[in-house]
This record gives sequence, C-alpha cells and structure tokens, in this order.
Amino acid sequence: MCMMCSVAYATAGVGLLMTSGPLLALNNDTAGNTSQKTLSAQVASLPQAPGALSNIKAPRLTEPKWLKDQNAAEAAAKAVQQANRRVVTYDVTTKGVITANLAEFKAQANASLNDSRGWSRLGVTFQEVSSGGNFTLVLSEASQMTSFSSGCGIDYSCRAGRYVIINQDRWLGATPSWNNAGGSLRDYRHMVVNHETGHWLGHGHASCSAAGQPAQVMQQQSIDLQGCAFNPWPTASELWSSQLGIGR
Amino acid sequence: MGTLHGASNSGHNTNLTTAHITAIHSSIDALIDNPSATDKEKAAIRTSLTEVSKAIDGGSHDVCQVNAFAQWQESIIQSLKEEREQCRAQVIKMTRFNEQLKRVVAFLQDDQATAEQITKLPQADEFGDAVWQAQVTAWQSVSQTLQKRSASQDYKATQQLSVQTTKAVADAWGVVIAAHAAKDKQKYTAAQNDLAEAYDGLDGIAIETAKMMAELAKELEREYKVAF
Repeated sequence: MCMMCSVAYATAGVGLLMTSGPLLALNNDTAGNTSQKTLSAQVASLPQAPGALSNIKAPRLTEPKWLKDQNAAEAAAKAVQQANRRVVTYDVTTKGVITANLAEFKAQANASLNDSRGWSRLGVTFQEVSSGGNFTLVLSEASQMTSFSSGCGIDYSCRAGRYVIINQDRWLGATPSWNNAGGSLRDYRHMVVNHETGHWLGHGHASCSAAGQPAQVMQQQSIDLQGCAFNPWPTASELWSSQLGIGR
Repeated sequence: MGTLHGASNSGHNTNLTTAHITAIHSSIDALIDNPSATDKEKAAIRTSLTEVSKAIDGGSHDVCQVNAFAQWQESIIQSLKEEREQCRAQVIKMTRFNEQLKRVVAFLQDDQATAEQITKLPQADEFGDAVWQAQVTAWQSVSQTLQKRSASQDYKATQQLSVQTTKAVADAWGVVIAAHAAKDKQKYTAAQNDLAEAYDGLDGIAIETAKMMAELAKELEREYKVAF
C-alpha cells in the first residue's frame, strides 16, 4: 500500500475510528479476513421498498347493501325457476358385457342432460331414479344393440321406444369421422346422449344446414358431419319436444 | 533512503503507516459480516455505508502533492517518484470506489423515501365503502409526492414506475366507487378484479428496485476489489 497515501486518509481514518466505534465493535476481527458474505450480497439486501410492498395486498371490499339485495333476489329467482322446472325421470341399466366405468357413465350422462347448453333449456330437469323413470338409459354391449329393435345396428347408438341406448364401443371410442375432425371424447359423449335422448323427446334426424355451421344435435354426426362443425348441443331451432308438449 | 524518508520537512510525510487506510478497509469488512436480517440491522448498515463515504470524502485530496524540494528529490531518487505515482493511483481507486458508494447510498435514500411513503398508507384486510374515497386520496397523494421528489439518476426508472403504479391503484379505487354508485353488478365485479390487479402491480416496483440494487452492488464490489 502506498505510504504517502496514508497522509490523505489520516484524518479520515482517525475520524472513522472514533465515530465508528459501535460499528467496528460489532466485528473487530475482520480486517483482511475472508467472509462468506460479499459486499454486493450485503448491499443488495438493503432496500426497504420490496419488504414494505410485500405487506400490501388488495383489501376485501365489504359487500354493499345493494349488491347483497341483488344477489339475494337473483338467488330467489333461481330457486323459483328451479322449483318450477319440469322434472323428467330416467333409470339406468346395462345390457351385455360392460367394460366401461358405469358410475362414470351415469355421472356424465346426467351432466350432459342437465347442462345449461343442453335439453335443460326446455325448462326441464333430468333426474335419475332407481326404476320406473319416464325413459330408460341403457349402456349396451355393441353386439346386443340389435336386441332392442331391428332398426338398431351394432355400430351406432339407438333409441327404441322408452329405451335410449348408448353403444359401449361408441361411448369408449367415439367414431373415426368425429375423431378425425378433432372432436374430444367428452364432447362425443355429450353429443350421443343428447342425440339419442332427442329421439325420445320426439326429434327425427336432421341434416347439415350449411357448410361451416354448427351441426344440429339431431344430425347423424357419428356417421358424417356433411361439412358442418361438430356440435354436441341442441341448437335453438331444436328446442321443442313433442313428447313433453313443449314448443312448436 | 532512511534520512529522506524520516525527515518531516522533506515534503514526503511517510512516517505514518497504512493503518488508516486499513481502517476503512476494516470498516467495510465489518459491514459485510454484519447481520442484516432485521430492519434495524439493515438500517445500521445503511448508516455505515454513508459514514464510510464521508470518511473517504474527508481525506485530503492533495495528499500526493509535494513541495518543490521534494520534487527535486524525486528527480534524483526514482523510488520517491514511484511512491508518489502509486499514491496518485491509490487516490484514483479510492475516488472511484467512493463515487460508486455514493450512487449506492443515494439509491438507498430514494428507496427509503418510497418505502416511507407507501408504508404510511392506511392498511386493513377489509374496507367498507365509507373509506373508499379516502383510499383514492391517499394513493393519489403518494403518487404525487413520489413524482415531486428529486431522485438520483439510478433511481429515476424505479421512481417513474412507483408513480405510475400508485396512480393506477388510486384510479382503480375510483372505478370501484363509480361502479358502486351506479349499482352495476357487472361493472362492480370487474372493478374489484381490476383493483386486485392494480395492487399486484406493486410487485413490479419491488422487482425493479431489487434489479437496480443488484447492479449497483455488483459495481460497488468491483470497485472495492480494485481499491483494496
């Protein structure tokens, strides 16, 4: 170290020693000692704002009275609407050897029927019952499909009288045309339940209205989309039911 | 060499040792090793940094100047000339270190001012509508105060961010109040979400502060290693 430079810092050094007693007292044995901490790490930890800001969160807003009243009114209206909805019951059974998950079938079918995009828009609630429902929903082994009616085939799902029959092979794997169009299995399941139930509700088959348009749910989307986009839900024009005496 | 170097009237005062420079070095070493977990400990280190800077400032900047006789000595004794050149070089290093240290100190002062403004804002887990307007006023006030403050060059970007972010929180409160006045559920719900988002923006200030501080700290360390 330059000896002449000691003159420059003599006063400063003495002053520092005299005024920085408490500081040096903290660790007097540090001159020249290596430390695991670095100056940059120590200095970088010093800003106050980050710590101060981390304590500041958006507060909850006490719900205003007008909002409470509005929410209560909406809930009441919804409850009345629910109470006034027509209930259609159905029981569930199987035919043949079933490898699909039956509990999942029941849950997903009920979800499809009661989805706000589906046949529930008729003002109907679909309720599963243990027996004696308005219709029977069947999950059938493919080879058993023809046992319901000569009009039913082993390749697709079907409706025969009170029986809404879902082909297990279709339930598990959809169809090539559906899959090739990029449709999901869940959407296929929505579609096939809605389609076959639509027959029970009184609908016949429909054709694609125009290329690129959403297909009507009563179109035979399992076979051919005919240029329409796949669509698992009844369109507005399909919201009627001769079975239930609704619409048309 | 002994006579020349021992003589106090030679113009070269080399009787003093390097202990005083070592004292500054020791102070910084001590500062590095100080615990810094609590706010109080960090405050102590910030104070120490300022003191070190002042101590370096307090040193004579004419240290390397010598009188005419000493200059004559240097003309015939090479080692004396080399000694003065070393002295000048050391002064330059110390000056550069201190310039960087001052940048750090100034940034920390600006950061402290921002933190003080923000921490004085009223805080609660939940606010009723009676105090929402006060929130607008409080955040607007903070934003304006931050805007007016003269900040160091290194802090200017963080300052601008702080101004914008605090104003955004004030504005978001205003939108909540408007939706409440209109009793519009959809607008009120959207305003609540926007308010939460505005508060989340405060994280940006913390990130910017930490980023700038890390850069300044790195440069400080670089100058420290050169100087010592």
